[in-house]
Amino acid sequence: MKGGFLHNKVLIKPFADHFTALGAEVLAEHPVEPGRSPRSVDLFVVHGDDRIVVEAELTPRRVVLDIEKALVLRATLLLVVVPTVGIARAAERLLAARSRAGMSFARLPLWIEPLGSAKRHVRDRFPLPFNPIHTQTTNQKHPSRGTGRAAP
Amino acid sequence: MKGDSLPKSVREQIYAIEHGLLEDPLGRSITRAIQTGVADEFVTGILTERVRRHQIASAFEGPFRLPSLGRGDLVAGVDDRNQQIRFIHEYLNAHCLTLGGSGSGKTTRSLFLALQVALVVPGVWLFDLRKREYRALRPSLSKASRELLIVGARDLKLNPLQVPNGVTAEDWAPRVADMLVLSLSLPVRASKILHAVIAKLYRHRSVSTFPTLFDVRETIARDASHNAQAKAAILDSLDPVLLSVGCVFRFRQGWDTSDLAKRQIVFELGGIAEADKDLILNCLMLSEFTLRVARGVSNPRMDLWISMDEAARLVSTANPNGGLADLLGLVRGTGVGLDLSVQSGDIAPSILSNTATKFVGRCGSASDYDLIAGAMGLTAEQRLWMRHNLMPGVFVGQLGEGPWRHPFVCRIPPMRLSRTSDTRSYLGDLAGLPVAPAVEYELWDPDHAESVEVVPRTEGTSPPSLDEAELRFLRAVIDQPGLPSSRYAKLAGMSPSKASKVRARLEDLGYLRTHEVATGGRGRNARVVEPLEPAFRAVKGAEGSEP
Repeated sequence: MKGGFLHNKVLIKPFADHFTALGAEVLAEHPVEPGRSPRSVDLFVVHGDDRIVVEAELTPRRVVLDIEKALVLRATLLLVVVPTVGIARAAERLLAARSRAGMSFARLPLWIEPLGSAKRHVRDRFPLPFNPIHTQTTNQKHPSRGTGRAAP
Repeated sequence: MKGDSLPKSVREQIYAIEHGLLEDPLGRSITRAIQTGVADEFVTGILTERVRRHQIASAFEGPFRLPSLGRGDLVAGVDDRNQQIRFIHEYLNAHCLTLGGSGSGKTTRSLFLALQVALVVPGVWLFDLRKREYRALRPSLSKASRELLIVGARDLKLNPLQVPNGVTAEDWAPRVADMLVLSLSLPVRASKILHAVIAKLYRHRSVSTFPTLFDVRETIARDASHNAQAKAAILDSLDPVLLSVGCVFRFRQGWDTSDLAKRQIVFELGGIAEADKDLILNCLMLSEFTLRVARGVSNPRMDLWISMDEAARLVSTANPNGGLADLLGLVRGTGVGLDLSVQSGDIAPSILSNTATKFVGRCGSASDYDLIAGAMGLTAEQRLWMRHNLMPGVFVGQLGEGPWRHPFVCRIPPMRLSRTSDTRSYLGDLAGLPVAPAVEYELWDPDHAESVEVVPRTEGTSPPSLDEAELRFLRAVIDQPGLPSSRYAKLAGMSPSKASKVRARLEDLGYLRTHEVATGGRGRNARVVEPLEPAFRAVKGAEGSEP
């Protein structure tokens, strides 16, 4: 997969894990078109009737290209995961400017979210019987670690 | 036969012919009368008078002879007698170099010549590499029904990989690769990668489109098989250019230089970096020059004159990779004339060799005089005169072609051009030239591409020693990478304040890198920790050394 640690391990991997646990077909670096060096999306998920494209972006500049790719793949949802709220807002401003200039993105449900809220949205929209995204967050303590408190 | 044994009238006639004193109708009649033996005292008196006047004038003039350059469609300046020094514009085919310190009148001389050349040569390219001087010619030329277009650096629409008409892609690929290597100053291994990638891109291109510099960059960045340092060298050189003047090169089909060569254009490149200038200049010139060489026509009429003001960096001995020296040799006899102006004697020898016509104005350094005097073949007396007598607007010149090639002194008349604060571009019909933009790179950003990992320490130096707590922290990060930094304190079994100090040190030493990510729904961004290659090596080394 293209991109470095932040792109692959931090922004994309939680969603790949989530959709894999959900039993969906998860395709990393999925090509958008045929050819020797086609454009590709970071994650393409087919889950029942849902066709979800997940893209991680470190800057807002390529969001329009992400939308184009998602439209080519006939996606039902495009999730653009960015590191910070500031980048998400900048991307939204960019899209608003493009909309004013005549570009239309109305056909495609689009989430541009920082990592935390993107995980929460995905968890709510595609719930699991258990939660691989938040494996670290649990109120069940392992007996070997201890809590420092006396057991009741 | 000794000259003294000749009759006085013959000696005077020889002197007069040598100095061009008998080139008018009366002079030709005198020559004929003497040669047919019918010259009387009246005829010889005219001849004697002309020779005497010339000798007196020469005696007062100093070491430089009065020029016998009275014919031609261009005026180089005026001599001491206020007589015009003329030459034909075809002489400019041999290229011209002007050397003069700041305030010597180089720009005025260049403007003076450009104003005349624009009236007789269909294509004129005037490069303002630092200032905005040539645009002052626009009102004057418009009065002569010539439209001088003003093009800013970022108005250009070019594709260096666009194959000129009449040139095959196979011929063009190595040339453009060489040009990029020269312009970007790439090391040897990087240049080989660039050659291979460009050849591959041409092989796989469709017939109607050309690859762009962005394609080159992306292809190299995507291919993990390349040598990392060479790849980094190419990306490090290309990325600033594409970020700075990417709008210029974002075209699959840009302006065809053969179209530009039919127009009179000022290219204002003052607002961009030197590497960008090199690339744009080489792109324009290489394309046009290669096209002319490919046509196979030798010594045609000059139809393109290129003048560059403040071209010091391009001709400098310190910049042998600027590429202009090579191009100068290539372009001789293809109908292109080049005029370069520089401030100092820091000039590559090949530039001096390939510019036959030279002008030198007042310089700030005696060594500059020596250099140019050596190149022009001036005598010691002429050099001495030049050091003490040149002043703003006065030049010593030497034409590279024509029958009269002696050095001469000329004065450039002051130019009364209206200086304007107008900084707009005037693209004229250039805006209507066919282009094919590469829309896919409209929002191009180098950050999305695969980064080239650089190990923070150099080979051969010993890694800084890590204590037990630091190694524990590293192990925690490697075991569970990508967590917020606050989580590692507990995982490494140390207090948060100690963990913070350890993390900061490991970051400084190049073992870790942190990224700001909004991992939660609210609150400040978390600092997500990434282990780098040295961290893996350090932990592996520590485990290997444990008993």
